[in-house]
Amino acid sequence: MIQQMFINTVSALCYSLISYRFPASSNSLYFPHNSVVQFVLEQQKRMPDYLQLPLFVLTLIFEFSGLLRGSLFHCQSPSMREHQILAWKNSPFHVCRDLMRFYESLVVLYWQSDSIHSSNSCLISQKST
Amino acid sequence: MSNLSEINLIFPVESNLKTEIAVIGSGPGGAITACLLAEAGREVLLIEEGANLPLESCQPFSVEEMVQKYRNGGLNAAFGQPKIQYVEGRCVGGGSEINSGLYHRTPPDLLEQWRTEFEVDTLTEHDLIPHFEACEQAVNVCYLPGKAPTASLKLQEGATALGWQSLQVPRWFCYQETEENTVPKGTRQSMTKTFIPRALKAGCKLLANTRIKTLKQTNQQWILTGNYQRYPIQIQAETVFVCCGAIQTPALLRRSGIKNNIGNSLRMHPTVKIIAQFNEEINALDMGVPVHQVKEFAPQFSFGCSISSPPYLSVAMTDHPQYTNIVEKYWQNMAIYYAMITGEGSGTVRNIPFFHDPLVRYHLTSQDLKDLSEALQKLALLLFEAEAKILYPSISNISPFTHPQDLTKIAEQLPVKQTNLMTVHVFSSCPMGENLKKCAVNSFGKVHGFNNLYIADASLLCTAPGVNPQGSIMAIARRNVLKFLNKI
Repeated sequence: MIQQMFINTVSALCYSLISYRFPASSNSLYFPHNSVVQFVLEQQKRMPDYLQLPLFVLTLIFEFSGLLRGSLFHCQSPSMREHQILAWKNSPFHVCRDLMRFYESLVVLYWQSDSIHSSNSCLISQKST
Repeated sequence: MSNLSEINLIFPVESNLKTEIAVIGSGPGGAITACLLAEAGREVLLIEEGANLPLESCQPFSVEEMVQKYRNGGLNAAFGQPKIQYVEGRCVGGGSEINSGLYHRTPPDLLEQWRTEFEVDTLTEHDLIPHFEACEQAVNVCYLPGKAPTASLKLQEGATALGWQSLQVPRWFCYQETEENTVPKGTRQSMTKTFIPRALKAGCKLLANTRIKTLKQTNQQWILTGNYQRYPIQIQAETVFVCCGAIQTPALLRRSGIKNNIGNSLRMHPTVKIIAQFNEEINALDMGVPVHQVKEFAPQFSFGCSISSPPYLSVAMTDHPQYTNIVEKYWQNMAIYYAMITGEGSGTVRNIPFFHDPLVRYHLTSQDLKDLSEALQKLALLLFEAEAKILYPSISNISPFTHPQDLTKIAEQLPVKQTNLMTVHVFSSCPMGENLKKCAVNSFGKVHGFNNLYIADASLLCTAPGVNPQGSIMAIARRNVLKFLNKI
């Protein structure tokens, strides 16, 4: 149950970070959101083992801190999620800023890489037809 | 790779193996060591924790490469104020499979400093030249035969305008023939392209996917205990060369109870970055690695240009997320530049009980933070001279610079809470020399106080070289293994 809550939080965080950094993406047919979530979850398992539990716990604290705004982070509306992300990005506590930076960097890296792959594939298929 | 050498890739069916010499780690130090030992007719087992993958298994500097070939998926940091992100290779060939391939010899004045301060014997430039030359030939160190990427030329343009020294750096690369005005394509001459096939051809056995946890000496034999994939394995060897890199070598030795001057003096090149946006196009998806560096202020600090693909640009823009759409629209006009300091700070490598990965800590001095600030200001000035329109430094909560006057916003010391540093160069965790107060190994890599135990990797470099370290690692590994073989 805790593991599922972690996955829900990471998933909600990834979706929110995608719409925060790439707002134009919501109008597109291009939808690699779930692959982004999968990549972030896999990277979490690859990181140094002594950091995995702290990251897991801090992510759940992030989830529960949403209750201060009325509901768990993953249950919030998109605008409330963005407010919470910005609050943590500008937090006086460096662990909060680092947590957001960790997720944001991975989301952006995967999103942009996938976007290039996708456009290259389109070009190749256009050329072949 | 020939069929002859393929039979030397081993997949153990027994949990106990025996060899004359075990080389742990297959990066530049380990690959050269294993190759020269095998070519001298010795029985060698080369052990690598990561997978045996061809260089072409993924695109260079891609997400796939991070997943396949980087330790911990590229997510490592040295803890301190501020923390410093770093990366290590974890695959057959080690760091040589993932780095930029830019080549420098060790600066001669640095060798002199190592000789006096660390009491390293016979390590002058004259002593090392035959080793530099042999390694340069083996990995085909050469200059770009055609036009350099425009982003790289911008660095040269800014330096020339300011009267600063800039240079094109050679790489270990085989270039395809190309027209004069196009940026040449080629293949990095990593260890899997050079020394490892040579080693296998000479009879060296390669055991990939094998993590050695501890070393223990009993009755003139070393017993290496670890895992091949998930299965326990034990390897018996008369002599061991530990070549796991500046983080994993001290971690392995300390886990094995070998701790004297091990993992206490880690050094790195802390690096701060700037995204520069120009009016004209300077970037392309196939730009590759820029080859110019500015050495006017070396060894204090130097400048260069990084991989600047759209994913890297977007990640670098994390300090200025409101400008993400600028990357999407104008990435062809943008590139990432870096200022790298030699620094005087140092760090430690320690194991944490019950955990697999070592904890790395690094302390930057106030002088380091001043050097980083000065380096950032000078790099920004250079980029404005090269007609950059907007500069986005890797410092959180600071506005982009649009005019040289904005550079006065950079504090005298970079603010530790807002600055985001990284490095791709780590070394010096087990320095060599006869000075027993400072050094972990003797002048030729033998661990002080132990028989038949050697180190041959970046750990040996006494201090930060101020340049890409692989040239130094290869030459010193060659020198040390030839000494072991009584050939020098």
